[in-house]
Formats: sequence, C-alpha cells, structure tokens
Amino acid sequence: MSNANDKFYYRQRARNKVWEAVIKALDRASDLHGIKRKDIAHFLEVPPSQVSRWLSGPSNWGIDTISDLLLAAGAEMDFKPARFEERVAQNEYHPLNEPLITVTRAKKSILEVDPIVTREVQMSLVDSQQRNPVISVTVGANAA
Amino acid sequence: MLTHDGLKDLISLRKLRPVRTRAPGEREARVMLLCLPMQEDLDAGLASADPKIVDRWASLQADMAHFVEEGLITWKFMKWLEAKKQEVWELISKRPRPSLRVFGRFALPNVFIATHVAQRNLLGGKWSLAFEIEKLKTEEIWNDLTAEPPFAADEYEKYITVNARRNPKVENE
Repeated sequence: MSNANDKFYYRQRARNKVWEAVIKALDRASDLHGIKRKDIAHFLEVPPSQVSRWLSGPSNWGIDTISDLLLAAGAEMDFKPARFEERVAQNEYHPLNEPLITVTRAKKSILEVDPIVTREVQMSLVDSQQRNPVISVTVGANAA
Repeated sequence: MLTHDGLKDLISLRKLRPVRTRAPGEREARVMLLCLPMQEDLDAGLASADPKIVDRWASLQADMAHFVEEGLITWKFMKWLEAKKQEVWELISKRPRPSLRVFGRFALPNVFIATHVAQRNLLGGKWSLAFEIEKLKTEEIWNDLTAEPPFAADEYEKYITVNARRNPKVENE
C-alpha cells in the first residue's frame, strides 16, 4: 500500500464491485426467468421497498444480505482474491486517459501525480507489451 | 462540442485533471476530468488529519474511479438534473455520511467533466434554491473552462454507452 488512505478507497471499491455483481446477477435472473423485485421480496420475506433500497446503490451490505440477494437470483458469490502483482493488466484505456501501461506500482504512483510527465514517459516507451519495463524518468523545468 | 485535442490541451494547462484508478492493472475505459474547484476539495479532503474526513473523500474517489473503470452505472448512481436542457448531471456518493453530490457535465460520450462537489444535506429538495445555485455554479465553472457546449443526447445510454442502464431490470415491473 503506497497511500495511507488506500484502505478507505478499497473499502468503497469493494462495495461498488459487490453491488455491481449482485445487480448483474439479478438482471441475469430477470433475463432468464423473468424475476422481478416483488419475487425477490417474496423470497426474502421483506417489503419490495426494502429490495429497492438494497439495489439503489453501493452500501454496507452484510455478508448475509449479499448471500440472500444472490440466492434469490439463483447464484452465489465465487470468491477469489486477486493479488495486485499477479493481476494481468488489461491495457484498455480511453484515448484521453494517458496510458499507464504495465509499470510497477512504485513507478505508477510517480506517474499519477503528473500527467505531463506521464506523457513524456509514454513517448519513451517502445514496447508496450513488455511486462516490467525499466523506465527512467527525468523531471526537469522543461517537463511542464 | 469539446474535442479530444481540446480536452488534452486543458489537461496540459492543468485546468482539468483525470481521475485515475488506484487498482493496478485496472482498465480505464471512461474518463472523468476534475475542474479546479473539484480538485481542490478532493485534495483537501484526502489531506485531512481527521480519518473520518479522509474516509469520506477516499470513498468519493473510489466512486469516481468506478465510473472510469467502466463499472455499472445506473440512475441511482449518476443522473441528469431537471431541467435537462441545462445538461447538468450529478454523481451520487451516499456513504460514508455526509452524502456528497458531484456536479458536472458530459463533454463527450463517456467523458464527464466534474465541476464541483456539495454535501447533499445542504441542498434541500429537488427544486430548492440551493440546488438551483449548484446548477448555476456548474454552468459558471464550465463557462470559465470553455466556450463549447456540453454533449447533449436524448437517452441515458448515449451519455454512458457501455455497462449503463437507468434501472436494474428487476426494478422494471
């Protein structure tokens, strides 16, 4: 962890990802079996308004709530931690997002603070498929 | 309408700053660019000595990164404000309290310009004076940035073209 507030960031990121996974599981169940909010409410023995509140956005769902909602969709969570250093970079960037390519975490944190420096580095890279490119960054007055 | 080159110039001039994901290897298929007032509030929040305030702003940053990473977006996460012709949107970041609203406009499909942020509990109801002031503030910050009009379309999915829908399908009765 390079940043003291990473834990807060990753907690919210986890809430967002779980919310998306549950919504997509329920949408899939709706596509396959026509399941609607009232069916979920009936299955879970809660008012439909409670289901709407759950689905309204990322929240502090407990494990029980996640399990109940997924069970209503005929699914369960397939837990699989992803280690940062082992994750394969997706290399999919909008043209306006300066490519970070596959730099190491320490170098990436340097690049994030200055998009102009990032562009300089980007031009110096020849092989974007290289897993661990060695990058030498010189930050001088003319970089900005 | 703003172009990619025009936006890159504004980034180079530091009038806009891209939101980046902190997650190594994560895709960044959409763009969120922060105007100066938004940058200042975010930076101040993250630099706070109070862990609760840091939590609030780091969570907001994660919500903005969720957009950038092409995460699922629904009307409850991000929506346009009425009157639609003003082309002012809000990103809704409910937790941790206080709930925050990030105001802004789309420059292009999948390219959101976040002008500034406000606490929801200070805004009142839908047509409150405070909400109207925030919409005018969005326009003012936008006009300081560019003379170009924002992107405008008639359907939600034309603003956010992938992995977005107004409502989860199970909500459609």
